[in-house]
Amino acid sequence: MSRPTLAALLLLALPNWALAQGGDSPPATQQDPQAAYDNLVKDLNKAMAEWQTAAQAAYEKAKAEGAKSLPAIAMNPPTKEFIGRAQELAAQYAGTDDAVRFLGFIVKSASQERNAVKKAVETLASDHAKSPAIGDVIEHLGMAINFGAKKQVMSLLDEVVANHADADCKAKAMVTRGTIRLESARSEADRKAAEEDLRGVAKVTKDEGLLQQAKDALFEIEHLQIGCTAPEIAGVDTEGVAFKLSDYRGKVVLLDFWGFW
Amino acid sequence: MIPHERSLVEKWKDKPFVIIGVNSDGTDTAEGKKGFDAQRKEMGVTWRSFRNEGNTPPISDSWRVQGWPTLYFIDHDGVIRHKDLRDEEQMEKALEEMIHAAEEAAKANDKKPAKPGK
Repeated sequence: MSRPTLAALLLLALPNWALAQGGDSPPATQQDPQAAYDNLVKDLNKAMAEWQTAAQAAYEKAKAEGAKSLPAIAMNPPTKEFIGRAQELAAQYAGTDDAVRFLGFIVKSASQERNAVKKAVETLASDHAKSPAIGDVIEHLGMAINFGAKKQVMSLLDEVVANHADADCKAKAMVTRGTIRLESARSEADRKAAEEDLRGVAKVTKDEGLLQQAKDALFEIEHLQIGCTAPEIAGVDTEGVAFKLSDYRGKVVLLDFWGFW
Repeated sequence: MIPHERSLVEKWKDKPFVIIGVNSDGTDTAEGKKGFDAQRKEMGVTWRSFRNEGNTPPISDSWRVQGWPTLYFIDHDGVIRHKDLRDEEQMEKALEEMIHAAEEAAKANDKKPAKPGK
């Protein structure tokens, strides 16, 4: 059903790899956790760039030879080494706020390292749920769900929502928890729980980005469920001719978000 | 996916049924449009699609699309009846029921007097 192409995979991978490197931080000693983090990110970005080039070449070659499946390299970004390094650094700074960014790195950068992600989120929940640094990690927790770490993610978010001192951190956790609940909702009760989180955001924060995220997710609850009137779409077709979804009232419409890529 | 959709369009060409796409293949540039047209011809995609381009493609963003392809089944009154049915048999069964309802509704409308009664 899904049509994974290398181009799409690479495209998906890009935002994660383009990790911020903390700008022009002054040269630091080896003990400096910021410098250790920057080096880790720099090395990963370099390895990823090389991998993308190699994977693209392998893909073009396989395509020219008429291969049906993706070359193995395309499915194997070189993350393992860096996840290992991040684990060591997280252990080195265990219990401090500095450990949070290395654990966050694992959540953001892993490609196949399922157990590492689970363990990282578990440690974040048990040791760092009240840390001021946790805010930067929260928005990446959605990805950890794909690694089978939903239970760990939810308990971390529960912890942050219940006990974090910073209102924006709390609101961020509410948006993320609400969105995850919505995406995995199987019943009306699930959707209610999601809605409660998302409506709660406005009571906790004035941050415009978070309020917008909550609003967008609430739109899904209010307008995109089975039984809702489909929201209007007014745009142009691929020829540039204007039309509207409602032009087709009276007909059954199979609305398909699709692409060739 | 596309071959199945093509068969549905063919099968129900005389019925109140359309596929409307939302597409982000870059048809807003001359080069993108050229590639799109070539593939479209090759794959036999006859149905119309909204153009949905940009870093934050407006239609898929507001419809909260998480993965591609995503399907919505919208009835003759514009009501969402199913989301993301993927099994071809289930899709066809659902659409058949919806088309039947659309035809019944059209018949009922025809029977009504052109102008409301006095």
